[in-house]
Amino acid sequence: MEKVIEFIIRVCGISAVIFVFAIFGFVFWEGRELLISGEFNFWKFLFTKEWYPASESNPRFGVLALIAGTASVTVLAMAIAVPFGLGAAIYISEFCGSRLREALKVIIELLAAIPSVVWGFIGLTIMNELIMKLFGAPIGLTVLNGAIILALMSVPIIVSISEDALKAVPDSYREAAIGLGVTRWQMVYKVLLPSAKNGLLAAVLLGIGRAVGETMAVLMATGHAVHIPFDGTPPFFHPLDSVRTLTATIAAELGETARGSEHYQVLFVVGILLFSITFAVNLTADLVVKGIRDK
Amino acid sequence: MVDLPAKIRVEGLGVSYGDKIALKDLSLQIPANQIFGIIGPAQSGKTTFLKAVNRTIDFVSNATVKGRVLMDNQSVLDASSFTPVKKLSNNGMRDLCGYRRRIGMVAPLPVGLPMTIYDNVTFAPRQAGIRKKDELDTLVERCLTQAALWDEVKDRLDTLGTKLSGGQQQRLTIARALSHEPEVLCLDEFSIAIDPVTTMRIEDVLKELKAEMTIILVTNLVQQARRLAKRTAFILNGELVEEDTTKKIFSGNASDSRTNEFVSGIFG
Amino acid sequence: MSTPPTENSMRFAETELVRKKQLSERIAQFAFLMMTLAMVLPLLLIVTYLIYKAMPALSLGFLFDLPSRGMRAGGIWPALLGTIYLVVVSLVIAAPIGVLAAVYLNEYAQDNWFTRIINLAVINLAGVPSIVHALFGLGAFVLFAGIGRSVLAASLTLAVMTLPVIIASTKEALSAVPMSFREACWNMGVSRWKTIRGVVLPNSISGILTGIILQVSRAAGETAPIMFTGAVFYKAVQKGDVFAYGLLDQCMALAMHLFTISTQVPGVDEAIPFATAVVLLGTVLLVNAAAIIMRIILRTRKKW
Repeated sequence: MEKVIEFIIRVCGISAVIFVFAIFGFVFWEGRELLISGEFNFWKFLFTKEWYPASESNPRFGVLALIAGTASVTVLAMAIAVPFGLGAAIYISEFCGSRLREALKVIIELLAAIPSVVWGFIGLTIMNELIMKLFGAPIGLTVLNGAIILALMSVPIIVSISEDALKAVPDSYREAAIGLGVTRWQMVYKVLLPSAKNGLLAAVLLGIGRAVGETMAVLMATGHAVHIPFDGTPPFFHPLDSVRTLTATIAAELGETARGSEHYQVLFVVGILLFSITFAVNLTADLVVKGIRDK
Repeated sequence: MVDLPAKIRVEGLGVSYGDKIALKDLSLQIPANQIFGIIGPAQSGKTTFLKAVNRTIDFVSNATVKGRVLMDNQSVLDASSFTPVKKLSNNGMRDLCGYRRRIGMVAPLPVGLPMTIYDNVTFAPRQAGIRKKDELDTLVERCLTQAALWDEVKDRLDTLGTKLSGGQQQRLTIARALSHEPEVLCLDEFSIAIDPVTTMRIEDVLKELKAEMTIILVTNLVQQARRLAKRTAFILNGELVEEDTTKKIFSGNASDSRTNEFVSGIFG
Repeated sequence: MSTPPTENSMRFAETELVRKKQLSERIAQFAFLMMTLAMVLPLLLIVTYLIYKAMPALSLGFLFDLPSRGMRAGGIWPALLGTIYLVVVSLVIAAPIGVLAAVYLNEYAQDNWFTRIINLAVINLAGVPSIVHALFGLGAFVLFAGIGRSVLAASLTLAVMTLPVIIASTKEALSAVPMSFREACWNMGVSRWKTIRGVVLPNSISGILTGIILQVSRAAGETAPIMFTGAVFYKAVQKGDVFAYGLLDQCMALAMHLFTISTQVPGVDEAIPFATAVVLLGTVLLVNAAAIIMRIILRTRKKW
């Protein structure tokens, strides 16, 4: 009896490994015919910007514009979220009293719980109007809109992981620094940030992972245009352009494709690409965290 | 020298955790129905020795073991060379749980399990299959009385074991160790976290218990061994320095000079 | 500070340098406070605004009415019910597997390369984008297993998605049980499994449950994974019918419904999507708050 239970526990124990392989396997399987067919050129897939998957006469599968969409939204979101997230983490772990700390942590946890479709809805309604009014843009569903929403969504994870990293710095470091007569800000800047830098880096990476993989919010908030928001004319980057991300493309188009069609398969290939990106980001974050623990 | 038949015989016992060697080639005979003292400074391998004897070393995943341990001339641990605990054989025992119940173990820090006092004492017997209420009731009274705790808790057997004072919890731990009717009782620095009065009470308990069972008393208080043990072993850095009558060990002219230094408080 | 300086304290009087330091200290503290508020305030503003816009449609009837006029008016009952179905079924699947997996990792697994791979898999599973889970669910459950688009397929997809987080929170709850409890049991000849069942699980169950409850809210808010695996835009159900969906039926879901009426259906009464968002948000935040309160109560009532 006990042997049976322990066997079941062991099987459940490896379930996570099974599922990771299964996810890759099944997504690959549904896109296999396109991938192994001679017509599919991986470099052309990655580095051309013509995305006309549904064209009858000449379907083209270039995801460069979608990658640019994902990248622009993610980078801008991180540019907003990282300073605020780190600042909040420093405030929570170093500057505020224990009661306020508990309260702020609860609020951040609640912030993390807001469903992505609700964020998307906020982008679609509130942020949309706000951006149109503030910038006089013809449409508010833009890179900026998606980035602000994504920033608010990824801030909780950045705060909580950064706070863990700061907490992991031994108190003796703090005491030694304060004992030397420096201010708390100097202590944070000169002692805490350098010694917690791996953990903070991991926090940023996990934030990026979350932003790259986010689907519903960017689908609803970025305006749905296959478009590269960069060009040769200053300021080179146009945050008020509409874009479309890799994730949003799958969500928007999968419902309209027939199973087994090239369009259907290419969406699974995009899925493999997304899986690979987030896998790499999470793996790096994990290695970075392990780095601190081994030290 | 050994006047009684050995209850436990240890031959060439070695234990290592990963690369770290905890016990080196230790051989000992522990005679039945007396208190056997083991002294030595911290980190010298005393706790590891007890873990190897009751085979809870099997739960330390990176441990490797060699040597033999015999109880009543029956082999309970047998490895000719360093063997990972996962690969150790059961030596013909159906499972090790039955063997572990023949040994009672009291850890350094009192551990009241987070359940009622009654459940603390009856946990092991119930897991071993005793279900009858009256049988369990008598068992609880007997064990708690033996551990000199019955009078203090008999009216509140349903309070949590974790809510007792440190000294009471340590006696509860002893009662629990007695609940599965062990033949050998091991105490690992039991007085480390309790007050002197409770320590003396437990020492009195041990003096009575030795009539019924063999007692291994691991202690960092050398005077405790001197008070209680008939024979004493001195372990240092995982090695047995010497083992002799307590009288000889504490006489100041033990065979090894390190023993004399240790018992007179020069180091340790 | 306000007392006049005595001769002795003059030696510690503020020099120019000290004053500068204090100023920078205050500025830093203020800046960090502002950054924190910049995250907290939007939450409050957004929630207030959503509720304000939703007021005209919010009522008890809104929860229990069927949508009418092609989802442009009426209530959200079928979607609410569908979400409850999806959450319950996915938890029934994910909770036992997740808890047992955590038991394995915390109680049985040795520190070796194999365990490291499992832990890595758990971390990566948690990082897989929700839309990739959707592709997996479609490929594995809907098509390969032949379940078809249904409550079951969508719940299985959600279950895989919530699994890593249940594993992580359960592991944390298990590792909060002191090692000495386990050793005490082993010393008494209690086997590993009986120790887990008799001492470890009873003393971590509340922490485990809290983690699972938090997952409920996450599963309730997910849209992408159920979009192609079982949730549909519209499904006719009887008013007040609690058993409207079978395991193999397609269903509506609150998150999906919000997406549909705010992007796919023109001419919806403005308050209705806002009210739907408020219901979804309210449900999620309430469940979360419940779990957090439960955690705080448990912390004060520790048995050891």
